[in-house]
Amino acid sequence: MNALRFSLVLIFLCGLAIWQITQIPKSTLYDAVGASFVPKFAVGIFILFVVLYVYQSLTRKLPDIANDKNEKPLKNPINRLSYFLIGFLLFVLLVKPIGFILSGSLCGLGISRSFDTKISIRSFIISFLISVSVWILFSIMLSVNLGPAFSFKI
Amino acid sequence: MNYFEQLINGFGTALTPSILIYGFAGCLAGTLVGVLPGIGPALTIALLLPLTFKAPAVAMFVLFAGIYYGGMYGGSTTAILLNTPGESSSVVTSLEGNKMARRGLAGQALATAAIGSFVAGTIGTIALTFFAPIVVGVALTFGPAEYFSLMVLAAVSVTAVLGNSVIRGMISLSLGIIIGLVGIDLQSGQPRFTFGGVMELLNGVEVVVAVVGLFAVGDALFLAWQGREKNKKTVIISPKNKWYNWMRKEDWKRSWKPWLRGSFYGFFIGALPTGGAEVPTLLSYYTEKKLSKKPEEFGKGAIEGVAGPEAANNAAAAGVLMPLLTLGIPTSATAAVLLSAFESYGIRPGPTLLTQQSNLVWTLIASLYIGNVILLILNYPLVGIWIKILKIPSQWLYVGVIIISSAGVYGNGRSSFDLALLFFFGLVGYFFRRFDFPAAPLIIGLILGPIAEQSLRQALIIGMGEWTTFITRPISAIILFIAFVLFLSPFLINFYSKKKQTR
Repeated sequence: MNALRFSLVLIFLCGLAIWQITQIPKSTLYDAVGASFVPKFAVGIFILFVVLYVYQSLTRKLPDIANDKNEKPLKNPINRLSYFLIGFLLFVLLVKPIGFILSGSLCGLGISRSFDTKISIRSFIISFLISVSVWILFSIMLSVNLGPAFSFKI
Repeated sequence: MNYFEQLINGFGTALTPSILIYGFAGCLAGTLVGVLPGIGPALTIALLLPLTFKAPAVAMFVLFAGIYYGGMYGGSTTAILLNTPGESSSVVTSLEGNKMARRGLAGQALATAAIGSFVAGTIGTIALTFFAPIVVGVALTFGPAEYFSLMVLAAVSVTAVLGNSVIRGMISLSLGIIIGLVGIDLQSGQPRFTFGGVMELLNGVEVVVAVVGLFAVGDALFLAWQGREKNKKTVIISPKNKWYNWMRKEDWKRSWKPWLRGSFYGFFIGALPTGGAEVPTLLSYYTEKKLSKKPEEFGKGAIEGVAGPEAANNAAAAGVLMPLLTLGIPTSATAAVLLSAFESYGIRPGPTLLTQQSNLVWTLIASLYIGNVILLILNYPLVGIWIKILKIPSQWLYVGVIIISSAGVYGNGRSSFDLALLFFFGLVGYFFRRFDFPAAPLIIGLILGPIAEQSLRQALIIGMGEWTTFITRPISAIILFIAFVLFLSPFLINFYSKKKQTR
């Protein structure tokens, strides 16, 4: 991924926004500008500046930390990113079926792996303890409903 | 009841034990996050935003104020001792502060930073107390047209100033506005940007989810991708003297004027719509360098170079609160997150805030005075503890950040969809950091976009559909003109600097 490829993502977002603008139904109520005016304006501004960004990315080098001498990532950045995303995705998918603590522990395992900590019993135990502490803090001390600590509804 | 009596009442509320505990916890947490590089007050307040569903508004805002001020105090500790500024506004402090520490004057540097922060924070809060009602008096004459213009000014000023490119800032801002428009239109009842009526999107996107995703998840993702945290090698320099011996007579003599000058810069620049803490700290540094009787010490560890910028940094924190509380304009990332906290309580900051929520505002201001005292007491003896906390391995720190973020978002309705949105905003935050897009305009667009739309439509209805209503009303016209000039200013500065270079 570089600035040019990222601009393709922005172009895709422009396409999505235009499609959504066409889906706004017309209202029969009196309104000076209607429900679609501001969305059209905002999408117009978005498209205008995305076009300028795409133009810049074609004509000159735009900032990308990956190219910065002092800030560029160490080797295997995609692997680290993947571990993080897999960990988070596991949490999103499993929090209801297996409960907060186990899904949080798996998520923690993925995130710690993304910071180059090896997957081991020790890292699972630390993630588990962090999840337990957060669950106790939110569910018991602050009465925030995080659902059951453990659940087996798979 | 006049404002002085309301302030006294505010002190009465802020000094009740339950509220005082929130203030103390905020100061403690704020200092802690200020000490930890990469975790600033914006992220911490964002992490705690989900708790607004559970705790009373006064308590939470006192907590947030403590975090905000504490973050400013804590940032200087690591800047001086480790040359690792916890906050971007502490970068200037590290220039002279770390040099002083390396010369064995860590105690003096820490003391002048802490006392300067106290002096500036107090001066800034006094200025806020006196100037806020004046600004509100003017703003109360505003109608929907002026409000709309004000929103435009806020959006443009933050976009033009934050970040290094107007184009990237405007992309961030317009994306924020589009996300803010997701859901049912309040006036016509029509669904917008809901992808064929996705149920979870009909009520719009929760600001909390966007803020936590962009700041907490985005930052953690970026640092994981970068993989550099573990490689940071820092030299820890502990002050050898006892804390009560840190400031000598000579140090007091060299510090008090920079404290006052820094406070002046910090408050007034921080209070501008284009405010922030970076510009006043830099200005203060160069002023002190110019006025110093020992300019040769600059670059080797001059106490004035720590006293002035640190005072400016803390006064700016109070200055930033002024446009936020009186006009509803956030001028920094932390202010944008605070604005979303107001949103969570259904409170709209602006001129009417001081009359409709006077107890909240004056308790918040009173808590700033109290917080300053707490922070002064807290910072001196606890430096050793803050240094130890820095040794927490980054992987476990970020596991904690992500699980707390997820718990906060999931706890508000137990929706997996919200968690997926958090994930989406995390990715946006990662790309924004990597490609140098400012995140604050997105948050500001998300919050102010829908409010600006309502003001626009109301103004047009009142003005019988005439667009000239925005320029025929003098205050609205002036505000729009300022916004226009601000929008053009980066292009003009760029144009003239290029012209100068070619000569």
